[in-house]
Amino acid sequence: MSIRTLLIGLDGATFSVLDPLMDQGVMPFLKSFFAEGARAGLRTIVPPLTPPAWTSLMTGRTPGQHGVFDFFRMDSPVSRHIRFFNSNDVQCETIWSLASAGGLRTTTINFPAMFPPPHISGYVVPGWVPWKQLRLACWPENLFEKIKAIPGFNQRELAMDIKLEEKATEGISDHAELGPWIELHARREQNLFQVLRHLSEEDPSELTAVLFDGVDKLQHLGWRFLRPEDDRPLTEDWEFHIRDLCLNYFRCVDDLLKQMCELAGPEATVLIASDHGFGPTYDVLHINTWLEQNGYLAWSEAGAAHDTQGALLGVGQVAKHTWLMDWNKTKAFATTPTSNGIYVVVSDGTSPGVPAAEYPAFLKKLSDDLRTIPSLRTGEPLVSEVFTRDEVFQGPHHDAAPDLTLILSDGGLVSILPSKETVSQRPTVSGSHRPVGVFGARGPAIRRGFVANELSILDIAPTVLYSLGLPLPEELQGRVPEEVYRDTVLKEHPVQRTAGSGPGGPASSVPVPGELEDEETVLERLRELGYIE
Amino acid sequence: MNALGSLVYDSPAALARLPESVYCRLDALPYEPDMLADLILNPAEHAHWRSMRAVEKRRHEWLLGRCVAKHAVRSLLERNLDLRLSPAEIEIVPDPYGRPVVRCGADPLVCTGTPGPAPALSIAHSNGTAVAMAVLNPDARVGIDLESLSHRRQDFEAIAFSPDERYLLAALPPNLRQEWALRMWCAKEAVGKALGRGLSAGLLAFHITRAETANGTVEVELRDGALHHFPQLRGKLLIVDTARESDFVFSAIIFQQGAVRMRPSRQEILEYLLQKMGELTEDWDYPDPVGPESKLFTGLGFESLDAVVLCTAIQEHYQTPMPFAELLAEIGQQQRDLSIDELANFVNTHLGGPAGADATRRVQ
Repeated sequence: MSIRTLLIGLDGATFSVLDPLMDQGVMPFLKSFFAEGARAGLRTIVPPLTPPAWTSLMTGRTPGQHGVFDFFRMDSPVSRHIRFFNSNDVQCETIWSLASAGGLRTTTINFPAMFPPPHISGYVVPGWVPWKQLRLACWPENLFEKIKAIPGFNQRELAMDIKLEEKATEGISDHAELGPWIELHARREQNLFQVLRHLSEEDPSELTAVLFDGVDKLQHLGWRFLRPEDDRPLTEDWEFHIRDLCLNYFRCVDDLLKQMCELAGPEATVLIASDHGFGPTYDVLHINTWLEQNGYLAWSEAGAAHDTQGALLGVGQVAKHTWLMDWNKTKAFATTPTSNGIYVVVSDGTSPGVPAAEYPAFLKKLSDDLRTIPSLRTGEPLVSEVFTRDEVFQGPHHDAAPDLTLILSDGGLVSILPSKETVSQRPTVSGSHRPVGVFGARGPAIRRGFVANELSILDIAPTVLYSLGLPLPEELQGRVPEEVYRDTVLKEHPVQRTAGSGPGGPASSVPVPGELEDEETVLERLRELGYIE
Repeated sequence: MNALGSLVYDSPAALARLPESVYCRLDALPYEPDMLADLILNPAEHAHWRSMRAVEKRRHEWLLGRCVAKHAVRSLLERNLDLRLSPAEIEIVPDPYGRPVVRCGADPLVCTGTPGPAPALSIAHSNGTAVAMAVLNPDARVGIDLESLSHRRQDFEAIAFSPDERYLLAALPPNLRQEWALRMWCAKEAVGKALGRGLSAGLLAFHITRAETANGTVEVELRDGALHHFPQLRGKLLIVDTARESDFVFSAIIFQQGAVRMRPSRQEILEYLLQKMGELTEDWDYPDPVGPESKLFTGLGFESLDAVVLCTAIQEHYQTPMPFAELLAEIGQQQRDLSIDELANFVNTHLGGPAGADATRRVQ
């Protein structure tokens, strides 16, 4: 057995960073990869965020269809407690499960929404699992022992260290910390590669996939070092040193790309994809403070007294925020600092909140009000788009989505903590997500040196399945980008489609509650039992 | 072809593995009702049929139920004992609690002159369809139920389930929720029928601890109202098989070895947690011994996401959703720690364990 398809994820990769690095000779292999294959911009879903975007890449479906909207979700439809996302939230087939169902093996390393690990044929080393818990997270159950035996294995520098992840959103104030943090990410990608190489040499899988997420982290914190033209020129020695370390990271990634392509061999199809793009961000919108000042939200005593230091909120703190709000008076609130989502509290007739009949007008007024918030830097509207869930999250999981999702003009993320101001400016430019990431493909079937028009992240799952020789389930919302293949390939190997819905199939399969002869039966039974009058 | 052209003997796939049972289903009366009654009912049943004052739909469903029940029993006896009885030779009478009991003449042992056990039987009907399940094992208790998925009222969950059971439902994929609410309801009905007293002990006496979408099983634990009559089932989980076929949800349970398993004890839960924590801390080269009093955050150096992942792994292990998000939010709010012992209490409580001194001890 050999690798048939190698999927390399570069979290947050964007051509505005990669192109200069290729031109400057920092990433020579990537340059040759695109010269020998195809490339395109890759438009992601709303919101352009790691968990829903990678899940869309893995499933070929939008969040309303697959069920993942954010790093966090309400613990239940009736709960205000939020919990971290996990693989059980993915409510449809993935490329991993479809490959398994097609009799193929998969090795998947460091992708999010993979814990608890799906019991696929092959190996799963999930991403977004803290290093201390990695043993619990691998599949099959003996996999952890297998990778622990790899010479030089360093668990702490393989899986996630949440304190370090928080730095990527909260910022590192001391630049002396920044250098070691960047170097750690380079070592981490090397460790991920060591696991991939070990498994591929010992027991290769037809579908082999790895995600390098240091790209995203570095761009969040190091944007001004990677693209000083978006802020101010670098002047200090330490600034040039940090830039060197950033470029070393990308050199490391380039080298790993080369080694992985050699490992896969010339007959394999190699796909490179990112979950979203990246760009500079300057403003911070303190969304809950704005909601409060505009009469939509009320803080509890704990919230009013809350220390307002820090513009952003770390992952570990998010679950605590709900006690900062006065739920008797709050009508709209943001729960997480990651998805730019706003939830509306709808009254059931007796509970506080917006009466159901007033919900549409409430949404419209709130959306209109949000669009008036100005950017401190430009004076132009800071909120460039306000999407209702009806507009962007159609599907069986629509109800789990935020009522509104904001897109900020500079791609930034909101802060959800109490603050003295509704909008503030970041001390220096940071990196933030953008809708268009990168796509690359190379292999015997792929055109050479071809630059395609923009593709969709939903096209990746069909492309992976096609490259594996598997049929495409009809529920997939993307397509195989025929234009990136050599002329005769699609004729000789036409795309095959198959019917059938996996778990979390289309909403039409769900029975609709209705009118209701049978309710009488239920009520009668309960009445007989003395439970109702 | 069977005289009853629409008779179905193939049970839904998930129910087919129930051992040594015969399942029958009919979706409509095969003949004009009075003619059918003349054909299959014995004189006592016929008298009952004539005297029934229920609405026509109820009378027809009763007759449909008798029809499938008799066919299930006939098939069971023919298959296992080579007895060939006519429908009218099989009498189905309710016991004092309404449970159907099979009689052949005065005594099942002598009705044909051949010794044999009386089958256990359960009948259900809904929306013009009836099902029956018969089991030869005289010590077995059988319960079956079916419900139609259509026309389910929106507040059904609020009416039919306890908050803990609603929590289970909330954890299910949204597109499966309505179907599984009905499966859970049917599971309660099946257990109630198998115990022979229906749901007369009250809905809360039939507590659902787990709904397993992977294999269709629903686990039911008896609570006080039902344990009064079945104290031997205290702390045991009754495993009900459920299935969906087109617009119907089915449930069935046969009480015999294998259908009942023990809920893990608090001690077993603690041992599991200690074993897992032992393995994990070995990976970290943690220098100190790990015991029940070890604190997750200040002792073992957990970050909040460590706790989230551990809790998710525990849920996966026990295949039971538990309100860990609430627990962790409360811990965060109060800025307190959690010991392994306290975590075992939490898991024990949410697996339906008794709220003893250990289980209710306040977390410090």
